[in-house]
Amino acid sequence: MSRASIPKHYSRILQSWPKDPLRPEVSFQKVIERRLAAAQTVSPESEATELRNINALYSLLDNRYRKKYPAPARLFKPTSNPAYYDDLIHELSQAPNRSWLQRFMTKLKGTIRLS
Amino acid sequence: MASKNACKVCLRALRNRSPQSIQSHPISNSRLINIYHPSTSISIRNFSRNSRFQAVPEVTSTDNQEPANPLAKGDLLKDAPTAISLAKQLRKRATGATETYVAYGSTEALFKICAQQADYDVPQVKEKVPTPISESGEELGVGEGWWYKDVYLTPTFNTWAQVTFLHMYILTVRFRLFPPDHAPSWHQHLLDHFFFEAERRMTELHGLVSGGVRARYLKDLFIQWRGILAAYDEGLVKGDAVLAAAVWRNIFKGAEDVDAVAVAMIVSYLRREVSGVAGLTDEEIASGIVEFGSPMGERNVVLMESHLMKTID
Repeated sequence: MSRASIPKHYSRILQSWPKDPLRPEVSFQKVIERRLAAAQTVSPESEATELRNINALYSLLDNRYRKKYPAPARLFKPTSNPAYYDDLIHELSQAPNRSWLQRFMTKLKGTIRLS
Repeated sequence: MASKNACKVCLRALRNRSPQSIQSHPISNSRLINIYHPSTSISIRNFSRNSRFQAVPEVTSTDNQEPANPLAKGDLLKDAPTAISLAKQLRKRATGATETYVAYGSTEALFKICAQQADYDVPQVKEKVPTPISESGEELGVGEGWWYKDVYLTPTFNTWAQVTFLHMYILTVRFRLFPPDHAPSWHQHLLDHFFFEAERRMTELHGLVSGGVRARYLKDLFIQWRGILAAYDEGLVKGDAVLAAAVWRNIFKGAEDVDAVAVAMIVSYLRREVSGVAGLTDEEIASGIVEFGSPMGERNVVLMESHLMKTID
């Protein structure tokens, strides 16, 4: 019975896994898709391994480790540069949507430091 | 210690000792001689320790018949030679200028701990026979430890670099919490130590004689390091799935047949160590003694059944 549910688990994981617009050519979704395809023919020995893998992927989706080992809030506002993580996340969200010219100008500005 | 030129401190201790004090504290006396023996190479790093490290006072002049109190706070530098006390003064008066030297020494110790996590050796170099090459074209070494024996990563230079990057990242996250004047030197020195060691390995273990070839690889490694910082920081903020994807891309090189349990163990280990170093004080980090455990301890956490397994229709 659990063997039939393996493809269902993988489809569910595939839907919930966060998409990565910054790295379109290397996506973890491909791993899950490959597993999904291979799950149609799964042998009894590898069934236990597959279920363990599925469980691990669920635990990652569930943020189990972030909840178990919470980092203190001051880690995300570091003394040496309080805006570091906010700036980084903002930059990573902007980067995929930039045109070639914008990327070029950003690179040019990065080579000059006025301090 | 049958040395012809015994040091002044040891001679004084032997001359002044009373039989009672030796018999009552044999262990503490031998430790005293170790602490007070002035070494020729003086490390300024010692002065970043705070007085948490307790000393046994009244070392050499043992006319005092009272047994020494092992829990008393003492001044380690009371009888220190001129050079050490001068260094201490300098550290006190010019903290900003001497910080970089403290950082260099401490990060060297910290980096050694990072580098030995996935240490490997290439025995063929000594035997002067050709090194075996993996399917992907990398030279194979021989390594012990969790990363090679339990996760079956190949003992190559790239694996060593990636696992070292992981541990350097944990320290980098902690260094960001240092004061704004000092943090940059800590980051820079840790990275410098990595590049020195990487180049040494390329020369000695992989026979890369040409400096130009090594420089090209080091440039690639620097780009990888910057990528690691961005990827793991993103994962630290956004969640375990993003962090797992970052670990998968970097340590497992984006392989399609990756073991998700191993990836989850590494994610759990990373988060555990990050919150671990976040709990240490600045002095403890600066003393250069940080212990990483093993990711094996996370296995039970990972294998615990998720509630999402049961709610499938």
